[in-house]
Amino acid sequence: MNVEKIRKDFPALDAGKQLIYFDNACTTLRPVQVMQKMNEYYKEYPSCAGRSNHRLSMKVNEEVMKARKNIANFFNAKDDSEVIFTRNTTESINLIANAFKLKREDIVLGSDKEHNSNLLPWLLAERRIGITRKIFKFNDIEDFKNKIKGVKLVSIVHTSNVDGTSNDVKEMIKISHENGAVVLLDAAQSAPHKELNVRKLDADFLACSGHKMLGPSGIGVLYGKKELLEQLTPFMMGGDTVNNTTYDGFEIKALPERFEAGLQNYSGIIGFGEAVNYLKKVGLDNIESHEKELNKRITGGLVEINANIIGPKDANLRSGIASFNIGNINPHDISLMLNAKNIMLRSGMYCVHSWFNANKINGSVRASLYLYNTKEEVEIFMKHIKDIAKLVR
Amino acid sequence: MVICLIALPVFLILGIFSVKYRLLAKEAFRCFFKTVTLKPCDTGLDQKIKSEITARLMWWPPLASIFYNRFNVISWVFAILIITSTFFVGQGAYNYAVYGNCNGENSNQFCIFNVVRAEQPEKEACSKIENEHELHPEKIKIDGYPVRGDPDAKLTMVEYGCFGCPYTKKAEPVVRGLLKEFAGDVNLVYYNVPLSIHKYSIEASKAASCAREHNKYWEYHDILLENQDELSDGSFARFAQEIGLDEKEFSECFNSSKYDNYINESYNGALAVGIYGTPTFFINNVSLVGPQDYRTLKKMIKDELEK
Ligand SMILES: Cc1ncc(COP(=O)(O)O)c(C=O)c1O
Repeated sequence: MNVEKIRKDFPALDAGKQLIYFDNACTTLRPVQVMQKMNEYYKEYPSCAGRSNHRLSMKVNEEVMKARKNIANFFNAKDDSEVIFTRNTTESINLIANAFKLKREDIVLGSDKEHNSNLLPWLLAERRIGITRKIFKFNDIEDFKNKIKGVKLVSIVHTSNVDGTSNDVKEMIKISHENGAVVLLDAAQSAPHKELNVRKLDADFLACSGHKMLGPSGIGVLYGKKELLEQLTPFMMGGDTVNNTTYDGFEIKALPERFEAGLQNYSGIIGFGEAVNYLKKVGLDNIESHEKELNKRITGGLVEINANIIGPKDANLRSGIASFNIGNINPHDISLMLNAKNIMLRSGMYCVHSWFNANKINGSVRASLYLYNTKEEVEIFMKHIKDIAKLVR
Repeated sequence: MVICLIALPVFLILGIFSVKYRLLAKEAFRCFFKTVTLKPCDTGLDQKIKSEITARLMWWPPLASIFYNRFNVISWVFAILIITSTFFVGQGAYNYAVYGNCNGENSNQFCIFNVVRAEQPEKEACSKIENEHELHPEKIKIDGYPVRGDPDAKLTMVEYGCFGCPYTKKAEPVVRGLLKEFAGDVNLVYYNVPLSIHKYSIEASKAASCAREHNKYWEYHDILLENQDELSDGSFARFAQEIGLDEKEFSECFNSSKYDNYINESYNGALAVGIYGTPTFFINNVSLVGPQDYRTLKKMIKDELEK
């Protein structure tokens, strides 16, 4: 993997800007290939798919189909129609929370380290339908086994955006299926950083966002096994979700269109397809090991200055994320100081307030890496981190 | 918290030039408002400022550390400095408004407002004289010219003016105010320089000289300037009448050529001093061209009186 060559694809990293971007868990930078592909839609065939029958419309159809295929292949889905376009992970999870047939006292199981996007939809369902929620300790298989009895739906984060650790989802899916539960994976932080094979994992549903994997913002995906998707009751309907309507009824379209109501974000869809291509070309395995390599360096430096690393000290377990605190320095102060040095990263609770509150941690600083980050960047970062550590009294 | 107190005026001023700072000023205001209502500042502005400055001090870690860890104390110190300096600026402005000097009533110390003012006026002068812009106070000859105020005053202010010159008119209230304020200490010699660019300026000189014969020079001088816009062939006799001169006597004088020479000589005398525009003021050897700010002249007079 040639990082220098990759960096040339990212205009935001132009040498003159001297930007060190370590906020990839929030959103990633985008390569020119994606931008060009998005623009191509607006320049060359800016029209509707699936409705009109003129040449431009056909071209959009074709490009959307290609993108869907790319993404289906990316996750090794059995069929392209198992890929539904949404706005983002959040919308994908909400779609399931509203469309999956849940009734009073059905149990939904989640971990104790879920993003608000995978907590709030279920909290709402609890109030709306009266489902029961259960929580197990993140990546604790024993706890998971203890809680799985009678569960209807398991909705869990794959890789945590707090510390980069992952749930052993393969094992959890197996256990869930043995207990008759369906599993939804929040793959917002895993899909961009490691090879994901929905068939090998046997995942039932999977949600992810384009913007966290070099793709456009405003486009995400819900993957679902065909037979399960077909059982869902669409909760948003409108243009292009039906073949025919009368004043009293409708004939719903096949998958995946029935879930894609209204005119779609074609440019986003097409750009997402291109982003996935880009990742595939570089190779997810390469990306994963590159991130781990950099994270090892960061972790080494953090240990040296006695920082409190959130999660295990072993960088191998934390993918490309290093989440930490330095003494009693306010994490926002650290990110602001680094910002003054042109290093962008995030501080706070990253929409996982529930976990931070439960653990009585007042937020942290998070460096999250991606394929275009370099050893040199890590060195500069660590130099500033060491300076900041000197502020501790 | 306290830092917002400092940030608010700073960003308000910077905000005049850039929207970015206007937003920050808004934030500072909100933060400041919260602080005075004893609520925590929730805008994060204090944090931003603290971190930004700490980062800039990182080249010397001990300094950065002191700043970071003592931020609250330091911002209090700055806040107090700002409050006290605001107080002194206010006091200076008050002094300047009331006494014409920002240092207080009887001070001769440097006051920035005065200096700035004293340097600008030359554009505001009537001129058609092709002189070098170089004045020779040593060549001033004022014997026999009309004196206003106590003839034995310690200090004489000389004004070269023209009855037709609007700037001479403009300077008049200041001159009179000063004569009143320094009555007994300062008098004024008015040296008339009839500029050809102003119609009736020669006639006005003549008329004033005629009035002087009856000790009514200053009354006539004042009425001329007051009615500068209405000078006409008929106005001179009317003014004479208004100030109580005998109409016939005045007309005889006015229509004669008895002052032609005097007026000419006066004019040449002014040229010799290097006068190139009216009004020009001399206070001893200091010259000022154009109408002057009251405070500037006052300060100069004071300086000279105290020498
Ligand atoms: C683990 C996880 N789930 C869900 C989300 C939500 O993603 P989006 O805002 O794109 O819907 C994020 C984003 O930070 C995340 O990290």
